[in-house]
Amino acid sequence: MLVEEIPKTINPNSATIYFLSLINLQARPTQKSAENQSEDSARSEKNRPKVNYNITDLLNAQTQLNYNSGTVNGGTFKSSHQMQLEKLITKRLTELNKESPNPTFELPKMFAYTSIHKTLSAADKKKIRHGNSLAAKKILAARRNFNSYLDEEKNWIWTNTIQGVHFSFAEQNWELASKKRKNYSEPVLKPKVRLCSMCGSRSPYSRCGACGLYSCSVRCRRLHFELRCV
Amino acid sequence: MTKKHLVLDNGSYSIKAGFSTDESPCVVQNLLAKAKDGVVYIGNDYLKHTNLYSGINFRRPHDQGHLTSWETEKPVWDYTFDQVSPLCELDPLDTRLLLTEIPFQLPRLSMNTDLIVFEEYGFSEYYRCPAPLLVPWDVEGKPQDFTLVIDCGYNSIHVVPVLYQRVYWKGIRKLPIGGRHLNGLLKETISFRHYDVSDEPILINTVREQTMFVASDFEEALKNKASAKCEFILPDFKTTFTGYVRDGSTKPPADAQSIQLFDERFTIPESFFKPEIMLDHNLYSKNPIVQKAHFKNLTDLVVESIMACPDIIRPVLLENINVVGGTAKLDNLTERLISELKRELPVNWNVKLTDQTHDVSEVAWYGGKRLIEEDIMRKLTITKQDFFEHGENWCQKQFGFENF
Ligand SMILES: [Zn+2]
Ligand SMILES: [Zn+2]
Repeated sequence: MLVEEIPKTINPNSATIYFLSLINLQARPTQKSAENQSEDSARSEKNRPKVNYNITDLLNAQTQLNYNSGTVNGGTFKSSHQMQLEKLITKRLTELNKESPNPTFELPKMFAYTSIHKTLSAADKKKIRHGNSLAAKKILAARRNFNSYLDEEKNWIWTNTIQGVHFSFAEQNWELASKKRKNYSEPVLKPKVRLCSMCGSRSPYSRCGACGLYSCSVRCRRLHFELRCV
Repeated sequence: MTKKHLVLDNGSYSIKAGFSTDESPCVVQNLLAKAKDGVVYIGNDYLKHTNLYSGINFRRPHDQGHLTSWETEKPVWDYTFDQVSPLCELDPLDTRLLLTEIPFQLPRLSMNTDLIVFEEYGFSEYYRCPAPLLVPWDVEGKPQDFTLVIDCGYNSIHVVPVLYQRVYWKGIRKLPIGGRHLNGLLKETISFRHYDVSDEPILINTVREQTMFVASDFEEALKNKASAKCEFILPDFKTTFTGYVRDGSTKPPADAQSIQLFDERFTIPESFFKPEIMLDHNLYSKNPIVQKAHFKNLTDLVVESIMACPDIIRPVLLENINVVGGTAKLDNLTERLISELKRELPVNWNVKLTDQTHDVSEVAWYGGKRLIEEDIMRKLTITKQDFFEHGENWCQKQFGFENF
């Protein structure tokens, strides 16, 4: 099947019927070779049990369902609680992100890759470093991080989509959903693991009132207060 | 005139690049490195300067997985283009470029990329897509109609359903934890339990690659953590530059320094299945918002992704699970994920991992190569003329994502 066969924009009037070879296989489990048959030959056989589906309609219906069930965050409403949580997650991930002490070191003024194929004049080097066209020059000179581009973006549908996907693992509305779990699209809420802040073992106790971390024993608890607690 | 095709899988950890006629891709670390000697090295060049490993700094073009800094990326691409064409075969004016990016890259940044591709390098034609789209193509013959791709990267893991060779945008889920976050937590743990390793990125990465694994049963592993004991010999920059895991057969030098690792070997990667290990065992844990928060794990997100697809294709998707990306090399990650999925999903659904014929970090490149061999590429590309005629939005309109 070629890439072009699926319409890019979903047209509700589209009459295209897509054919699921698997459904056909399940209807006739005895015929082993069916897997290798091309779609066209499968289609041409009239007397077979066949199930035809319009995938476009199915996709549309599922999208609507996703919105209604809240498994997809449309980005229209976000509680201040959720926003604070996202900020804290970002802070933590930024800490863990840091690969080396100085990930934004300055590049020398004339820094550029020197090709193995040709020797470059100073003017060539400048061009390689700074770009050919005005627009390219601007992009190459921009010293901005991702958050700066994100904050500047005026198309909120884009940013909502991007951030919605990024933080969907920490959306809090699924807590409610999981209590009355009806189907598999709503995961069960599992209790969080508690690991001792000193030795890494499982902790049977509740959090330290001062710092929120755990300890597993009297010994680790004492060490925690000495070394780890705020 | 037959055009050449260049496939460039622009990973945030490493670039996989090569002509579609090449046997295998060139792998180039996607970074600039500044060492103690003050010199800035491009791509893989720092690797041979083993005496400079300690105290090295890395600067990467990607920020949170998005291709952000072209000041950094351009020298690495220039370097890469020489690596793939040692005889100067690359003439962008006569080359079609197939380039990957992460799903849902910020459009402004993708548009910056389009402009650099056409105005700075002058490629004649170009197609840009999320890397997971190429994964189903890495097969003999035609790709499957329904493929679930789990792309485990350096910055994050993306779960991407590919239906009829198209990304099903609404089914995409993301866990913003990747290999680099494991490094970050490992660095914290070693610094707390042993000594400060914050300016040893190469050491940390080596320790992760050589010692970390995902437990089959985390509870059991934690109870028997003594059996996970492993001794890592630290680099002395005389006999070893990277350090190594001590095994029974060789005796390290008498003055060798080492660290002993136990539960950190499997507790840190357990973060994919219990994100609270990373997010709620730290300074922020005293905040009630963090205390009350629950996090979906990788298994939850895969289930959600499948459930966001039309119901009749869900079982079919599950029979074609493809786990790819550099972080997928983490020992036992795939096996654990599959066994968790089997537990979560209806018993009559056949959860099946598809074996990859190539190195999991290079599947997208090989998929791109196949796509070009199938001659699909010319129907997808945008030409330089189109770009200059229609303006900077043109590529994004053709290649961009669908909003929710
Ligand atoms: Zn303890
Ligand atoms: Zn405390």
